[in-house]
Amino acid sequence: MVSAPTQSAGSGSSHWQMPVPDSIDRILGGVSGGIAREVGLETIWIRLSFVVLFAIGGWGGLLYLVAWGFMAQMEYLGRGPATEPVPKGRSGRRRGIGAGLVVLALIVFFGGLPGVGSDLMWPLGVLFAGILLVSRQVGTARLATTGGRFGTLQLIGGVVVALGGITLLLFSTFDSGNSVGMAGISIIAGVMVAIGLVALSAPWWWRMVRDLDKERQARIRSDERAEVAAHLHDSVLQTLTLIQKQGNDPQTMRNLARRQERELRNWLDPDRADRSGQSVRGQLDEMATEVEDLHGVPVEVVVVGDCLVNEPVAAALAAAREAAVNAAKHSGAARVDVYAEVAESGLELFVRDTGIGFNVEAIAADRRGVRESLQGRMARAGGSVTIYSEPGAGTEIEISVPRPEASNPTNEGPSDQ
Amino acid sequence: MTYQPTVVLVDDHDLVRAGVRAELGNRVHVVAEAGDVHEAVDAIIDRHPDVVLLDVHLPSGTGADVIAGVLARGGETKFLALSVSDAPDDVISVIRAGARGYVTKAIKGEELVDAVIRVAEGDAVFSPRLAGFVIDAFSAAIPEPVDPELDLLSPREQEVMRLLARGYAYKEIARRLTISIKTVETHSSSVLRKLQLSSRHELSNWAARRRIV
Repeated sequence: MVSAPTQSAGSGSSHWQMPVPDSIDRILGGVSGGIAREVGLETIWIRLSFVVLFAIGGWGGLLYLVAWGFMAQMEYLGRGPATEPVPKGRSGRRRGIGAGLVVLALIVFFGGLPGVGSDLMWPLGVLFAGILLVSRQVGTARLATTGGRFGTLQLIGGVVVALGGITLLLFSTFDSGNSVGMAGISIIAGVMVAIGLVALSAPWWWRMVRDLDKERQARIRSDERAEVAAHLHDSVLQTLTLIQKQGNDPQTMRNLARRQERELRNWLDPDRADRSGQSVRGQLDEMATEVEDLHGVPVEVVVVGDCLVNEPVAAALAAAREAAVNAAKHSGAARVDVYAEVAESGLELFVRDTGIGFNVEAIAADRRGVRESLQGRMARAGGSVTIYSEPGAGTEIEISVPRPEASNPTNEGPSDQ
Repeated sequence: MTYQPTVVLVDDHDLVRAGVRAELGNRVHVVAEAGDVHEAVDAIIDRHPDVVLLDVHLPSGTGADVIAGVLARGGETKFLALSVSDAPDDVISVIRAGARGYVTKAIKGEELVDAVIRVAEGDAVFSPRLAGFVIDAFSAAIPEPVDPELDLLSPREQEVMRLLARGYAYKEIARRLTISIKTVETHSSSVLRKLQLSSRHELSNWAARRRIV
């Protein structure tokens, strides 16, 4: 009846939760108050139940001690209701009634009605009182701090009391006439002491594991935070400061903002950042940033597939860079598009602008340098360059390079790099 | 151009909305603005615009949620996604929800107006990046396509997508392939339909995109 979960509707919470000691409505440990709060009964009924049970062979006292230890542990672990207890029953009259009930119970217990099993009652009571002392101490003190002299005393006292309980328990078993020999008794004694020690130290171990875990997680969180803060400081804040100083130069501001945007996107995309530098995608991103910075024309890069950079691929990327620089410098277009497609057969790169364009044949003579350097370079790398351009219709430069290891089924890309 | 499509602008940042509005100028008629999913669905149902310019990330959901909400209430309108995100998952999810195209906020004002008008006329709009995603998604060889009609691009469609990825406009593609602009539009609408309906595993598994061949 005491813990009937169906009664919990009255407590105001929607579902059953572990009771924790009530810090306000209490006489001894706040156990009755805590249970009452969860079950939704008047505290007095819970108290009465304990008293009646205590009178019958002392079971109520034992139950109270066990509940106290358990609930204190729950409270420490934060499993109880999240809300603060509602102040109630603080009045002296209620306290008086409660105290009276405890005294009444003690009188009834000592005055007679020795119920069943009272032989075991005292040893068990003492044992649980010890455990309670220890677990309360462990529950309230931080792992690092010992909780002062009182705390230590409480801890030692708890251990002593608990061991005393074990001894009493032993004697009562011994007294009840079992004909076990001395060897049997010492084995039982050893086992019981061991069990007692485990029971006593369990909360402490539990707490230590939990604390270590908590501390580890807190450390991870603060490390992450520090890393993010450091990065934002180096990048975004720096750029914003620069932008404020360059307020009268829109081109520089645009470049700064754009470079920062690229950088931030790379940082947010861990996959991209992981392999920047050694892949076609990474290299093209870097190239686009550099060309934008140098010439102030946005370079849009679209890449399909990806591969690691080997010598012919590096040559193709260098040629693409040259083409993009030319487009940015000479075409007058507002944007340069770079498209790269990595297939099993090879790499194809397209650098395109919609600028002024030129007559490929007519201009060949004075642009020889550019054409030669592009075409010569790609020829040496085993690839090719084709230039499409028309005056007024823009320019597109197609660069392609086969993959020498295209017949190789491995997906790892060149390993000789 | 006298035709002025009506537009609802959905973005949670006031500054972005103001910027986009300024870029659109007077060639389209912005009839409403909205900052979250609920507001957007209400405004679209209320004003039934020709085109909705839709941000992918909203405080209370995604652009795909807006599309689903409008469709659930029987609304009929065309959506063009407009976002700073270039993550393939974002792009593909909003397209699969029913958007007719995807452009990034870096797009120039005039290109944006063209895109809005194209969507209003029922065409698809592929930015170079979206075209790149499409090629990627459909490029991995699959031994037995569930539905070849939906799971594979025709050679012509592939060609169109590659030119779009290279930065070509429809007009330029038409000239280059010596086909009519109408045909280019038909191809890209067909690709959009495949993108929305295909069951290809690669569409959701973008890890494949990161492959290093």
